[in-house]
Order: sequence, then C-alpha cells, then structure tokens
Amino acid sequence: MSVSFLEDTAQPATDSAQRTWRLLAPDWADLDTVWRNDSPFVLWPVGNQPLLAHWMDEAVRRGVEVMELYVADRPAEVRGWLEGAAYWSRRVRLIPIGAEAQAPAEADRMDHLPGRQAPPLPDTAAALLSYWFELQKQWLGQRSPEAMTIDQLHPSGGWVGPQAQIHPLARLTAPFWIGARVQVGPGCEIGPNALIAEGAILHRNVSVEEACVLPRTYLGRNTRLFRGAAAGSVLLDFCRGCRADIEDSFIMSPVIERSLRPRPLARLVALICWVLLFPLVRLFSRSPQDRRTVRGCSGESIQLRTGGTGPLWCRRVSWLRQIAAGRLRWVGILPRGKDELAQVPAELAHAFHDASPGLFSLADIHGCHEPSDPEEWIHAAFQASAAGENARSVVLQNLWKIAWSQRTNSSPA
Amino acid sequence: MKSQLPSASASPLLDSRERDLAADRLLFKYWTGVATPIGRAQMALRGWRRRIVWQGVVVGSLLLKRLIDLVVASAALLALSPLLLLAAVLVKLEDRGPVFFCQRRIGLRGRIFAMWKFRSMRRDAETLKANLMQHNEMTGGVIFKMKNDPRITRVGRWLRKFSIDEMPQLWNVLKGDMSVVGPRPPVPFEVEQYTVEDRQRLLARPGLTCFWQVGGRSQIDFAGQVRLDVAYIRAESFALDLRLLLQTIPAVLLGKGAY
Repeated sequence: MSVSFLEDTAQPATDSAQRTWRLLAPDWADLDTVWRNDSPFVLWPVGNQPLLAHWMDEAVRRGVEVMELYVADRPAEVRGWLEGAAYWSRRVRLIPIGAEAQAPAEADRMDHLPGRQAPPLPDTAAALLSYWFELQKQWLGQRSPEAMTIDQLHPSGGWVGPQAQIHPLARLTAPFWIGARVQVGPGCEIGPNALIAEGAILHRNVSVEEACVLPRTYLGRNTRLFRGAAAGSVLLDFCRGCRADIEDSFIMSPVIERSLRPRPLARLVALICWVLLFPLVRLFSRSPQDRRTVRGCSGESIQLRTGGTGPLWCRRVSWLRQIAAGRLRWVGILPRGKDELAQVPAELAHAFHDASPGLFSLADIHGCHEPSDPEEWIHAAFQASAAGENARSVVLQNLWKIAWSQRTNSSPA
Repeated sequence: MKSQLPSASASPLLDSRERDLAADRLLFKYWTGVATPIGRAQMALRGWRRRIVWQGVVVGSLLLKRLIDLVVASAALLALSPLLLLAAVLVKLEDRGPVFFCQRRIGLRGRIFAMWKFRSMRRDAETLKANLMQHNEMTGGVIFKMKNDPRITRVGRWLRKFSIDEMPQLWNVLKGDMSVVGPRPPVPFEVEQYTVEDRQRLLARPGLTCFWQVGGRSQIDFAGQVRLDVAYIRAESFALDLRLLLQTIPAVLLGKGAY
C-alpha cells in the first residue's frame, strides 16, 4: 500500500474543504465469537463489496482527497485489502491503534452504511450477525434503478450481476441481489431479501429467503436457507445466533475446497528425497529419537520421530515419508499432538485446527523446533493466522539456514 | 437447513394439494435416499460434478480470453512487423526524437501500468497541453481531445488516422497489462476526477478496442463512453470479443472517428 503523509492539522473529521476525512473502523473482534471471520468487520461484505468500500465510494462522492483510517482490529489485513486505494485514487493514511478510544473523537465510525441510519449497535455475538444482515438489507433497499451499475435490473425488480446464469424455472421475488457468475438452478426460490454473492451455485430447488449466500458457496438440492448465511461449509443462524459446520458437501460447501494436503509434485519431491536421504541418515546417525503421535493435514493421527541430535534435516528426514503420503506439508506449523492442541489458548484453537502441519515452520527460523518450546506457539499462531500468509515464502527463503540448524538449549525435547 | 418443497416441475393440471403431495413424495425420496452411505456418496458426486462444471465454465472463459489475447497479439506483431518498422523509422526521421512514447495508464481495479505507443506528438507536447486546455472538444467529461491538435506531428497524424500508433500496445497485451478487447485505459489525471459510476469501467482489464472504438471512437462523448464500457462489462463473452475484434478492422481501415 502506498502510504501518504500529510501535515497533522487539528481539524474536524471532515474539514471545511472536505479534503481530509478521519474514519474509525469498529473493533468488534471480541464480539465475533460465532462466525470467527478471518477479516475485521469493515471487510465483511455488505452487498456487492465490503463495508469499507462503501465508505471509500462515499469519499469519492464527497470529493475527499485524503483519508485517515484508524484501525484497531487487524490493521495489516485492512492495509492489504486497500492495495493503496488505487481503485478510488484517494490517498489513504492507515493508522493502527491499540483500542478505539485512541482514535480522535471527531472520527466518523464505519459501523454502518454511509448516509444511512445505523441499526441498534450489537452487544452480543448473535446481535452482531443480525446487525450485519440489517446492513445488507439496507444496502439492498437503497439501490436506485436509475443508477448505472454493472448489475442489471431484473424484470422482477431485483439485481443480477454479469455472467450470472438463472434457470427459467427459478422464481425470483424482489428485493434480491445475485452477483456475478452465480448459477441458479431450476426450481430455486430467491427472495425476498436474498443476497447471493459472486460465484455461488444454487443447485436445484434451493430456497434463499431473508438470507445471504457468501462468495463461492455451493448450496445443494432441496435445501432452504432462511434468516441465515451460508459461508462455504459454515451455516450462520441469525435467529439463534449460532453456527453449524456442515460436513456433507452435498448440502453445502465451498465451490473450491481448499486442500490442506500437499500438491502431487511436492509429494513426489518428498518421496525422492526420502528414498535418497533416509537410508544414509539411518546408516550414519545413531542418535536416539522419540516417537510421537501428532495430528496430520486432515486430522488423521500420524507417528513422527522427534528429538535426537544433528542438523534439523537429519532429525526430520523420516517426516518426508509423511509428506509423500500427503499427511504433512513441506511448510506449515510444527505438528502437534492432542495434548499440545488442548493447551493452545481458546481464541487460537480454531486457527491451529485449520492450519496444516509441516516439515519446516516459521518457529524453526527462531530456533524453536518443538511445540513444547515456550515461545513456539507465538510463531505458530502468527503462521496460522491470515496475517501469516507470507510465512511460507519467509521459510523458503531461510530453508538452508533452517535445515542446518542444530539443536539448542531452547529446544528441549 | 430445512427441506423445501419443489413445485415448479409438477404438472399444472394437478391442483395445489396434489402438487404439494407430489412434491412431498419427491422430497421424502430424496432425503431418505441421502440417508444411506451410497445415497450420500451419489449426491456428493453430483454436487462435485456441478461445482466442477460451473467452475470450468467460469475459469475456462477467463483462460479463453487470455488465449485469444496471446494468439492475436503474437500474430499481429509478427504480421505487422514490417509496417511497425516503417512507422518507427518515419517517427525517428521526422524530428530525431524518441520512437516510442510510454505513458502511465490505469488498468484493472486502478493498478498503474506503463502503456507503449508510437510517439505521434511533438516532444514538448505535455508543456503545450496546459495552454490548449481551453480548446478541449471533449465536453461533459475529463478527457482532453482536440480535432486539430497542433502538438501532433505530420507522421503522427497519419499514424493516428490508422491507429498504427496504438500497435506497440500489443506488447502490453502479451505482458497481461491489457487485453485485446476491453475499455480503453485512462490516464491517472482523468481517473482522479471520475465519479463512483465512472470508476466501474476499471472493473475490466483495459483493452485495445471496445464498443466505442467500433462505434465512433472520439466522436462519442465521455458519458457515452462510460455507458458503453459498462455495457461491455455486463455482456462480456467470447462471442462478443470476437465480434468486436472483427468490427474493429473496418473501423481502423476507414479511420472512423480517429484524430
């Protein structure tokens, strides 16, 4: 992101010339205990774009040149999403803060749609979901038929995005919004107050009423979504304020399922390395190793040899067989057993559960080679979070250093 | 998730009660079917097939567009290389200035890229532009255009007439900054003045030709250009791209609206 600098002028949120606009992103990370979204609230979709994009649009309408965004909840992610605000050609200065109270009092809160009355603010996790859907409905209600948009007004009164395929036997009831490249099958009932985001697939006889389907979500045959949201395989219930993780992919699932297993080429390379290196290491290395049962990529139990002496690649050479079998990745967090996973702080348990274990990890760079190391969980938590997306490239850049690192006092096991 | 009654496929001759019963029977059959491991596996396979087919259509159309870009740009660069060489020599001979003109343009979702053209204006064109702003013939918008722009050189006028000055952009197409068919890439100064509605033209990869290049080029006002760009993004498809590509050839050869 291109960060611009401006003179610090003690002016109100929107000064007289409408040049600088101070905005505060709400910090509702503590409230989001049901969905546990990877993104902060300002990046949650409201209609066809995240909430923050609606505020950026408003900045264009107001002719604001410079924006100051005060962000307490995951500022790195907000910065990454903005990509320098190139689409809006505005200068954005993102200011990370520790808490909302640190933002200037005059900053406008981005907890509602600009120019619209904010619904009653949420105070519980269940209320947060209902609040979010209220914003979606507000957005749906404020769309003007006269405005020129990429979406087209459907004869039934709703909006349909480009390259969407709607079966003639589908029944559409306004207001609704169907995003780009959505496929709606025969017998589907869409609306009222239905939002189907881009790339979603509604198979056959699917009903979506007072609900939203998030991008690239598949809803299977004969299903009904009412006052809820479908996000991949996660079903959110607005009425009860709870979630359900659907395991049956024919009911609902992500259109593209993210594979936690290593790719075929990576497995092949691991197999070759194992065949070449394992006999050599067994022949020359006599250091005793422990056997531990840990959790693999897809939750299966695997046996790994840990401990021992010598360079890291020698100690972990037997793990290559697990990569070849698709149970471990080349780069991931250090493999953990059930007991070690139980010790992970509750707020991080979800991230650790979703992260793949790997042969080399970010913690290895910092000299922590076992999960029992007191500082290892900090590096693992970063690698498992969305902010740690670039951890893989960092590990690969330091691969040689990691592979030859010796056991130190900080890695006790 | 609750089960839902399918009714659209039932016969219109049945009254509503019979239709509901028929739908209930279908639903019962479906959900009892998926209660067995084989039924679940069958439905999982059907769901997987639907997802794969639709993803194939979506990703395939994107790949097809990229393939067209690569094939057309490579073929055009090869076929037109003698003409491009001649144009380069003429530009160089006219005032000994640089052959190419590189300009910062706004691409997909506001990303800036360097767009290449044959230089068709005097070397001091940018400094002269400020004095000529009052003669802008492009009303109701943010683009600067003049029919008899004094900054254009003699060779440049000929190059512009037949759009030969745009041909180096085939390199941008090969690089992936641009596509063969798509809205023309605007300059950053113009985009800064865009409204929210105007910005929607940035949602497609910019291209060499689009609706308004085929329809009348510079004769169309700014609002009309934005309308046509949005119409293109709405209707974007392989067939449309092919049609626009074919329609561009006579538009270029006749020099329609080019100055």
